[in-house]
Amino acid sequence: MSVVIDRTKAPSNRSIDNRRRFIKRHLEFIKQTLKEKISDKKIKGLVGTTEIILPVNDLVEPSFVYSSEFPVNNLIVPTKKDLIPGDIIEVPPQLKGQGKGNSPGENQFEELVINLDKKEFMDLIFEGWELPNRIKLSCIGDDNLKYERAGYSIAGSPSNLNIKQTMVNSIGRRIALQKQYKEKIEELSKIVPNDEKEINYYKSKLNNILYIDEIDLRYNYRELKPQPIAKAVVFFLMDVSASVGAYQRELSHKFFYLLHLFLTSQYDKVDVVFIRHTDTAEEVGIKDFFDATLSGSTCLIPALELTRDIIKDRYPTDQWNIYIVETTDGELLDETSEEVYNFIVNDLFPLCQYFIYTEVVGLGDRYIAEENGLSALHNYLYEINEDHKLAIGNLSDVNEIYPWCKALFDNEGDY
Amino acid sequence: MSYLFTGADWNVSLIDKMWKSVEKSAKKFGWDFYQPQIEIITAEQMIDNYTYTGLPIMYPHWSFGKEFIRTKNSYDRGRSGLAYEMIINTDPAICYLLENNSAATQILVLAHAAIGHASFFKSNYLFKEWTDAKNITAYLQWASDYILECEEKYGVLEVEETLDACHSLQNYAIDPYKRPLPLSEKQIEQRSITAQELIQQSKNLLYDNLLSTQKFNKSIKVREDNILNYIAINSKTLKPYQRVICSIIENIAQYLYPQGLTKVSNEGWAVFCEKHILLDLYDDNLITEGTLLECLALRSGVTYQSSCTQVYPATRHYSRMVRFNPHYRSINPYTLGGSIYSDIERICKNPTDEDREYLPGLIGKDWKEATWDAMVNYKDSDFILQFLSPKIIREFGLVNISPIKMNSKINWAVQMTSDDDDQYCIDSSIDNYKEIKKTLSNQYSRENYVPEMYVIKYKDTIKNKELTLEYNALQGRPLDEILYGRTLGYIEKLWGEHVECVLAPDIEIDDDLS
Repeated sequence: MSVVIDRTKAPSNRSIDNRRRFIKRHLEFIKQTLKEKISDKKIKGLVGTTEIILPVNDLVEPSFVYSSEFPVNNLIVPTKKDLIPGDIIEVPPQLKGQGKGNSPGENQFEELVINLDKKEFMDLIFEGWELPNRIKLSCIGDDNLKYERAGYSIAGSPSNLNIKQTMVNSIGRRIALQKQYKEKIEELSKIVPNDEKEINYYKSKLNNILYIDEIDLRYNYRELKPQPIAKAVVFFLMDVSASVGAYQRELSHKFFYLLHLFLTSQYDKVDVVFIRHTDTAEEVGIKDFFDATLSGSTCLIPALELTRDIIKDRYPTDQWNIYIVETTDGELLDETSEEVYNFIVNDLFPLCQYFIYTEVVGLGDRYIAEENGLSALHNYLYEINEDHKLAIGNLSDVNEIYPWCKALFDNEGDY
Repeated sequence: MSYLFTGADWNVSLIDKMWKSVEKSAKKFGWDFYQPQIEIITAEQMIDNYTYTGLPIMYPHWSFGKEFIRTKNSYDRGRSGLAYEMIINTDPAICYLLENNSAATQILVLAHAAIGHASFFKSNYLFKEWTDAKNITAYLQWASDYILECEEKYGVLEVEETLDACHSLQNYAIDPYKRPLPLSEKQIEQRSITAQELIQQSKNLLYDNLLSTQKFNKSIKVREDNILNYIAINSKTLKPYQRVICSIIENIAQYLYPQGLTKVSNEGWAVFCEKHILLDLYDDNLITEGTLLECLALRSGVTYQSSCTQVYPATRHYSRMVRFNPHYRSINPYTLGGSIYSDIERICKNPTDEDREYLPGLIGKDWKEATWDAMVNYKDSDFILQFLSPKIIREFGLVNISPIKMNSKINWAVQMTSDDDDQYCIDSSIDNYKEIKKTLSNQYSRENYVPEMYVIKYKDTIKNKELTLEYNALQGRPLDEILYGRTLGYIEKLWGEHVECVLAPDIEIDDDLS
């Protein structure tokens, strides 16, 4: 009468929904903690499972409880029978803060640690971020075509035979054809004596109905259809000249790293082109981009020229959405601000969707700096800029990286 | 008679055989229990079940997510193990076995849970009165579906906030002095309809005006312990679905009410049963000596009791010192309960003179009847008050300690202790044993962990327009202020208006903590 059931193979995910609700409930706090973590120095180690520590006080569901500071009179406790009346049990000073000094054996709440896996982590930091102005959906060329299912056809290759449809048709045909013979046979059987010959004639007719006929066959049909896609390429331009000090370089590294993380986690098909420049520019791989150091002076135009050339070479503008991100300290040596601006407006704006100029502000001495601590280039661009395609910002501290990125990409922002 | 099994391996059909033998053995002792539905689960599923506090199914809520995360973390880091068993108070009783228990553990679990706990659930008076084992699963399924429906209709946030507020009143959702209402969905629908009628009534302005001009005789005060019910029926702002949610929480609280009051007796009874069944199976040569030893080793781990204090005896350089043991948590209910039941058996079989003086009611009774009676008719506080013998007090070395102020520090003083020579003295003027028994019994009564808070109603009012809470402080103990404030906030949210909270007359809160 007892029942033994093996549930080990059943899915054990009853609590996944509740866990999700818990995270949703405390979303604000979790996001805040994540932002603080990103500003930390160890940004490169962030990917993987992340631990969030929540203080339990906020999580306790309230109800009427006795104050834990009030010690209880007359507590009965078990001992090893080695006490005598009048013994004083001392409370060591270091235990007092933990609540042990008040009543023995009380529970201590620990902090609650949540482990976010990579996907949750990315989703939370990059929530709502999008590459802006993605309007180019183009579909020219052979690699944009894809086969899509488009119903059934009566002819095709045997591998495309759709058995279900074929059988449905054959059943229908057989029912229709059998009907007349069956009726006849029934009619004839009622007449006594039976006309054997006639009945057998009709029975043989019945048996000769084909199980599957050629007109039943159906094949799956696929059509070539063009796919509208939105391809994007992002150019990372980093100034690695001598004037960019270690602190500034770190800022721009972190900025690009965060951007790269965003792009690779949220989009499948974004190309990233790494260009580092001093007074000459070269395209490099990702490792060289983040690791190597160079020396030279600062010139923007060579880098911009290289960008333009690469775009013309490899990324035709009718198929690609193009974004350009530049970090520099703005200390131009050979060029003037006007030249840079004109180049950007004339040569690059027609090609790209969005141009982001980020100035990394350093500590210590700067060769060309205006009163507000930013370079002449920055101030010039800032004043003259009317186009919403050009975004101008500056970073002077690690904590500003995340808000700046958010301002750029959060689709609720103004930019 | 061949052994049921000899190794550690088992399969589903062996579990079935084990159960049949265990059941036969239990019937020999005359024990009655719910038939079990034995389910084999993984460790992850056990963690899932933990968070539902022993209910077969629950509505979704973030607090269960929090419990799940905490339990899982604790388990993953090896900070806590999982219980070997879990059994639900339903008919048939759902009994969970972990898949990586050994065969000996499984048979121990079957004896402990499927006989011990299941018989307690079926026969103990509190469970019989307050829980409906047959219908609880269907009811909870309905409740869970209802709440999901409400989430769709009224939004997740609103329903979640209602649930949060109701959770804060979970301890005040029953009336311990009245007979509980039977579980039935129709009743809930009916109550929600009654509530709607009340809403209609309250919208009658003339009626309102009439009431406000009348003078009430406030001298007849009546108390209502079921605060949640009072709010659900009388609040003017709650929507009908919220009142239904309140009644769901009430019914769940009702179901859970006996469990907090019978921990010692329940676990003790299960420990007691498993011992007898194991020995009986061993006598019938159904389990090997190895199995028996393994089970006994497990038992001793479960019933381990640490001492509350550590004594450092005097040496040449230091005087005698007594400190708290940092590993002590509380009195282990398995140990205490099991010892009391075993003691009852001993007294029935071989009473000493001391037993004749302290527990005369047990002398000469049949031990099976006496232990069954102790299990059926008592809750923890009464159980201890009735059956805690001086022998057990000595065994546990129970002492009474109280905080005292010394040089602006708070330390603890040992006030009374049990005699530790085994000789029994008739002539002691202060009967320590009785005092200790009484004090310990009070520790297990409900007021010790649920502060006594209730609504004051005035008998003459036709309907209840205001909500005043009264706090009857036990020993003048104050409430935790922060949590008090937050709970009151939730109550006001449900009630819709300001809520007063006063102290019961003649009560003083002891604020002198430093």
